[in-house]
Amino acid sequence: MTGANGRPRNVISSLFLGADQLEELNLRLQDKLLVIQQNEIRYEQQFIDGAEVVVVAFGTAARVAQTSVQRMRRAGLPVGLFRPISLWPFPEKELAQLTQHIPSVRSILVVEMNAGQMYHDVREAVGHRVPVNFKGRMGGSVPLPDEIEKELRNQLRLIDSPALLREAKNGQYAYN
Amino acid sequence: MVSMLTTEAELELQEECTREETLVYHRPDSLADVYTHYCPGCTHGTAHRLVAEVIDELGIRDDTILVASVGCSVFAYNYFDVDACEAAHGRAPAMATGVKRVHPDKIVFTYQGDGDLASIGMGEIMHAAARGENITTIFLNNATYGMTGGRWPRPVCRDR
Repeated sequence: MTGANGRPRNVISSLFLGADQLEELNLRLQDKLLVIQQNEIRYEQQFIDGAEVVVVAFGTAARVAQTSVQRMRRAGLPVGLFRPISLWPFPEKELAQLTQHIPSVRSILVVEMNAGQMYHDVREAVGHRVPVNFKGRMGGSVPLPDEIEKELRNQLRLIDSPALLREAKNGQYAYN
Repeated sequence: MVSMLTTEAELELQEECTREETLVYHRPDSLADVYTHYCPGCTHGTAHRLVAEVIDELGIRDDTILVASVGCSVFAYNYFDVDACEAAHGRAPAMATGVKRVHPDKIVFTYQGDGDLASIGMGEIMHAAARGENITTIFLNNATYGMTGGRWPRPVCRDR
């Protein structure tokens, strides 16, 4: 914008009210979203090898779950952690691969500090291959590692994990 | 030219009227030759024309920058054949302040309705005036939020 001296006017505008114009804009934005979905997915996985129950959690809940998972692994229990770093674009394919290509994974536990905002994303990615369970705290309450561990043990019991039975026989941990 | 005129006298009259030396009324050069999107009865068309005529008379079309308001008249930049940009609702004077300070040698003007200027944008216009910004504001008080169905902007419609 310098004054349209000897040239056609320049207009800086971001308004598209005509249906055709707006659809053109939307198509362009859809292409842009696709590029983002292809390039910006970030996630982290821990202790996935041999894991029978995998916790899916993000943010603070993921950090607490990490402690639970580390503790349980030290006790010889097969649990793992999948932590989406980018919630959008959501690491759908990576989660699906977890259940498709790692045969040991038999159950998923979603831990969140809300009523389940990511739960359905996980279910959509995993499909019906393995059960997806949910543990949530709300109102800003932070779950404790013990709380998540208790839930994970519950899940291991539900899938009749041999490791849990072995541990019970050794009498190392009280079963709750 | 499409014409309903038939008689020779009428054709002569038409020729006479469109000759340059006798032509008294035509579209201002700084008004673009496009179809209007304003509704019948809306005063923007007339106001646009008057502003464009003044731009022509002053010969400032090449040095003028328009900041459009929000509302139907956001599309002022479709009609005025000058460089232009949009502003957030009511914030055209703030935008114009910035443009003017970057281009102090240009004529920067805003074209705002009463909903934009006097309802949501009262703060911006008051403070631009208080600072003594060297911009021009064309304020069209048609007492209507046209784009959202003809509601009345509060500050200007008490006696309507």
